[in-house]
Amino acid sequence: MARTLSWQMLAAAPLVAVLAGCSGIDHTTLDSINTMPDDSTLSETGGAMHTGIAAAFQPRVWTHDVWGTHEQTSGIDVQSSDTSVLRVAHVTNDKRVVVWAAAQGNATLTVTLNGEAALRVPVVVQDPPQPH
Amino acid sequence: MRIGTMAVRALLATTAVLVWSCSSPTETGVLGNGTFQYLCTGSGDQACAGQTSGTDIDLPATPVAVGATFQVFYSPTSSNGVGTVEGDNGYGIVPASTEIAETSGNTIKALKAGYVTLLAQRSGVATVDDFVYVKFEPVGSITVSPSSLSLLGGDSQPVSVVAADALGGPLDGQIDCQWQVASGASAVTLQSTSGPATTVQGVTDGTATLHVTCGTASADVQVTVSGAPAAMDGGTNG
Repeated sequence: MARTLSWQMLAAAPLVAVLAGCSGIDHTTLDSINTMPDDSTLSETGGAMHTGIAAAFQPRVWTHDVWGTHEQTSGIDVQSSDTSVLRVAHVTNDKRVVVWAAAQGNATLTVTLNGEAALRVPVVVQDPPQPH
Repeated sequence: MRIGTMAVRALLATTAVLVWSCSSPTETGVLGNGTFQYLCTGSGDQACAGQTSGTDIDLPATPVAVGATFQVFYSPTSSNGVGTVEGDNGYGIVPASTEIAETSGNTIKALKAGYVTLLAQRSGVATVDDFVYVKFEPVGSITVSPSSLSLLGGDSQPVSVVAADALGGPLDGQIDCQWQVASGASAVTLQSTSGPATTVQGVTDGTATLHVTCGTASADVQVTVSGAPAAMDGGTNG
């Protein structure tokens, strides 16, 4: 009996390993980014924002496993690597977040799923051009 | 039956027209969670022309002058909270960058040209309820009204400034101006030396030039005073 169980466990081990290896974050999007009134931009690949500008979006994360790709509905957060440059806050009673450029500099916006980084977005903040 | 259907259609159409005419797109926040309103704090604000101080108006679409002050209040929709537009409804307005705008109490001062995001946050809560963009433009020129004036000795007359951007477009906010008597100081006195308006009083016969500076723009006003009582020589007879 014990020998049979051991053989079954040995046979299942590769399958478990395959299943574990196939699961993880599939892709992440910054959904419904609002239009900013100046030429500031923000997307999944990067951002260039002027000091004082904010943008709102809904971070969405999909994971995959052997059964397919699934959108996660909880455990999603967004953080800034330098809050003196770029600040982040959740929207009240909402899944959206607001990021705003507080001062010149560089910061990385990180979308996390249960603490694991799902997307990193480098953002450059520059002062708006001043007329002479 | 047919009359009933027509009546319902008419009612729906009327409702649609009313809803459309009552909407104020300039004051709704970007997130759609509430509305932002501009509080008129004085007669020197072009956004408040014809309004009395303390009146709420829609957030102006025109830029605010760099150096000017203004007040904005937020009112959430009923689903996100309760409160009135003004007063302590638990919400504060926070500029996205203190390098572009600074606050003192409820008053916001435009520091640099560009856009600033005004974030509505409930006090003590880290979340943002809504936000709106406001554009700041430097003062390109000013127009003084009246451009010149004649006063009888002892009489007073208000003088005010209207600011425009580099292209002549209007600018909102309580602009920050400094007034001084550049010449003929004995002929006039100024009631105040700062703000978008002052009052000039004729003192002695003569001419004076007022100089007003608002940001990088300035202008002169010629004042002629006549009919003032002759100045006493102040001597004593012994």
